[in-house]
Amino acid sequence: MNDLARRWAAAGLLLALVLLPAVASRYVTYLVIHILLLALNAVGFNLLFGQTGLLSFGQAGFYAVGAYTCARILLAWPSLLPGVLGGTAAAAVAALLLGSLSVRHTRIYFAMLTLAFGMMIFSLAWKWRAVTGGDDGLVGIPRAPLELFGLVVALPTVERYYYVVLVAAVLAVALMHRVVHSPLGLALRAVRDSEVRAEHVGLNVRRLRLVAFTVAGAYAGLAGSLLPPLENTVTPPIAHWTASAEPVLATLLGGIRHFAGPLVGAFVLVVAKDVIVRFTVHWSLVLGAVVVALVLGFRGGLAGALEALTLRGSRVRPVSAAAGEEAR
Amino acid sequence: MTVLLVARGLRKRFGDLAAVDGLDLQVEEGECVALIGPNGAGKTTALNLLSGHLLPDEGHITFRGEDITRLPPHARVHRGLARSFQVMTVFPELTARENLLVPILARQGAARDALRPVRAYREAEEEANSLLGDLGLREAAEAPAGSLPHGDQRRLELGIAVASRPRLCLLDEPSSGLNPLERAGLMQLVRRLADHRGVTFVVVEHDMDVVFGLANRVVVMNRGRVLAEGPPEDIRNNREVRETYLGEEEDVSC
Repeated sequence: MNDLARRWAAAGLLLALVLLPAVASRYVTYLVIHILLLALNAVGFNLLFGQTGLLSFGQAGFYAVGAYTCARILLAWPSLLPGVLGGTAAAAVAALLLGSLSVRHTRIYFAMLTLAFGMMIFSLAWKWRAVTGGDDGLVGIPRAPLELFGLVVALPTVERYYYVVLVAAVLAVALMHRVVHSPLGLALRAVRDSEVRAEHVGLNVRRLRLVAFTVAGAYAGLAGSLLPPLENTVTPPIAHWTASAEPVLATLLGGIRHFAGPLVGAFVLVVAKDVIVRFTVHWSLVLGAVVVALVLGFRGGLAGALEALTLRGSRVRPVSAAAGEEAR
Repeated sequence: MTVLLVARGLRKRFGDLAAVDGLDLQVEEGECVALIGPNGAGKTTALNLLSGHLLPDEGHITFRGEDITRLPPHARVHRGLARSFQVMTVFPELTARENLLVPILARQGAARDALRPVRAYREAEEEANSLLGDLGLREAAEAPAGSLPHGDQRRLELGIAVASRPRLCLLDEPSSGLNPLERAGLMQLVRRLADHRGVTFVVVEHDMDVVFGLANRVVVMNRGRVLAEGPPEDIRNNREVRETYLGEEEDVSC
């Protein structure tokens, strides 16, 4: 897909997202908010996974740090921006601290460490009753108004809140697009390709990994911060390690070498789950089978398959070269 | 001649094996030093110690007057000490041009820039393109490095090492796996890079044609230390060297 086609696709998608609440039901709007939250989490995760080559099973921990922090701020100070920014910052700090202990390891050791840290955060959410409300969670969290430059925007409806989430998601995804195409992004891919070579061309591998881990944590935290104003509650299951699998699955499903991969994957995962849940109580079994089929069927992910499809007929370069281009 | 690098009494043990056992080495600016020796002589370990891939158990390394014995590799690169590897280590999924851009941008301290596109670094791109030309890889610029033929990857590997603009560049068997024709081409390339870019090279090499064609000083290692050193002609005629390494003892009448 050439640059122009990609731009048109992005513009069309954006237009559809802007018009959505006007044409779709409240439930669909609510569902798309969840798609956007997962997309944010997955886009951050893929900086770590697809770009830097580190597989984290602890993203739900940072998601939860963002959600709980935002919830506590909103309960004390009902203003959306401090809540979301505070939650994001808290998740970034948590990621920086836990990351500095994790990034000296790679592969399975790194994955296991992040899993363990994620479970520690889960048990904090479960046991630290004074702060997190324990298994009851935090309830009655207000969908606080957005106060910006003296302007106060009340957010009484899901539709209005949807636009807050959409703006946050668009800004964060656009920022990630810049990061991926920057020298930092290139350096991260160099670290992924060969750690030893990267060190010997003058890159501080550990610091680069820590940067990627912290940014991924901040993105998970941003997604998590946007949850409590929507649901008005926060409960421990969002921190559970099974929740950490969601950005992993979304990214694998969409394609780790494509910038749009995590976005496509988040869409498919949330929609597939929503549809399957209507038909069977064994939805996770069916969803699992669908994910396995898609991952095996589309090795480069759905984004890669979509691209190959649109390229057919107007192919200017081999798909592999185009895919390589897309990934950077 | 200014002294670039001094190593004194380097030792590195792996269990019971002293891979490098009291190595003394000095490299002056503008030299091309060949490091030769039989298998297990400690050449690669020596290179790993000098480049910071391994830390020595004993001894000191000074580079341009500064003690770098314990510096991590990336800090040595920023001081002007780069290397290539025997087992090929290009960045396989990056294009050939990006393989060169990484060290160029790292050298400029631009690798932490997260917001401007790589495209905005025009000078870095031009430098990468010109180096691709020197390496004879201009056509391969957009191809993923891992998909290039072996010989091209070898030259790219060399290019990555010199793209850091090192004062001293350590090459670990740059011609391994190449046919004689490619070897000759690679030798010329190293010589050209040494002349045009003012790079001092230390080359670990097995191929004696490469060694004697390229180096103006040869250091022979055996059992982790220096056995002999001198101009190529002296080394070629050194009897001890011939016996331990050049493998011509049968031909020498006693």
